[in-house]
Amino acid sequence: MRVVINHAALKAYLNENEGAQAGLRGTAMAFKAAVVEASPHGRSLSWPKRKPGEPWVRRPMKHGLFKKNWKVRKIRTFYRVRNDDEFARMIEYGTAKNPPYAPTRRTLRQFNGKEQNIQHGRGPDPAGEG
Amino acid sequence: MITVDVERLLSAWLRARPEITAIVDDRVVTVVPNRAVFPFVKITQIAGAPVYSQPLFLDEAYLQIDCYGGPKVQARQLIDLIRHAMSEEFLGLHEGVGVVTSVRFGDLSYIPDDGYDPAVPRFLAMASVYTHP
Repeated sequence: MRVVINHAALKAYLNENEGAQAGLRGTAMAFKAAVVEASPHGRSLSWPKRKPGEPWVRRPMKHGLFKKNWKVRKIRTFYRVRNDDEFARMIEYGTAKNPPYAPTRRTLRQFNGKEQNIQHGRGPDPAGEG
Repeated sequence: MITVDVERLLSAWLRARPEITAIVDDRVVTVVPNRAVFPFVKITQIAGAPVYSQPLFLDEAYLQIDCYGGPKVQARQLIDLIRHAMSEEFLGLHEGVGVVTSVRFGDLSYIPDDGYDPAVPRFLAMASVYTHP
């Protein structure tokens, strides 16, 4: 017996199916939780601005903005896990002066995912503000 | 069993290849010095896992290979040379270090390094290297 799968019809069905969409959302949320876990907690070496009259306290500013900036967005029929930090690309791929922390790629490996068109930082978003 | 330090193996192996040293001299590094001289190649292991834990023998290292120009075309030439050399001649016994059994390449991307102003051209390739002692 030969079974022919109508991929277009199957895709259309899965796009409309609530259970499939819930599964997709669950995976996206799990991915986000894992990638936040894998992200470095950034720490600035600069010092906080001292208010007039306040004694000088030598304490570093702690940021962790990269961790906070992971977002899950629904775009049409799929979900996008994205980091809006403008330095996200530097953290993912490193620079000559910084190591690549690669949180996205390390998490993708955990999920048996494949690198394809990873985008970082602010850029055109097909979903607009969504 | 002591698994193979692939970062060190690959950087030393590339430094011994004339077509690479003709472009970067001996600047195939795992940590970039404070005053970097371009072009250069940086190799970093970002992940990896042993295929089996017991015995700890066959190991996978997931590498990021950064090739910095010079101009963009030089960075591209560097990454092409490295990928070609790795696919053709990296496999096999490396005396005193270990055996490379397989190399699998991932994405090749052009991601300029924003740490400099203006950004420095950089091609970046991913590779999984399987080794055993």
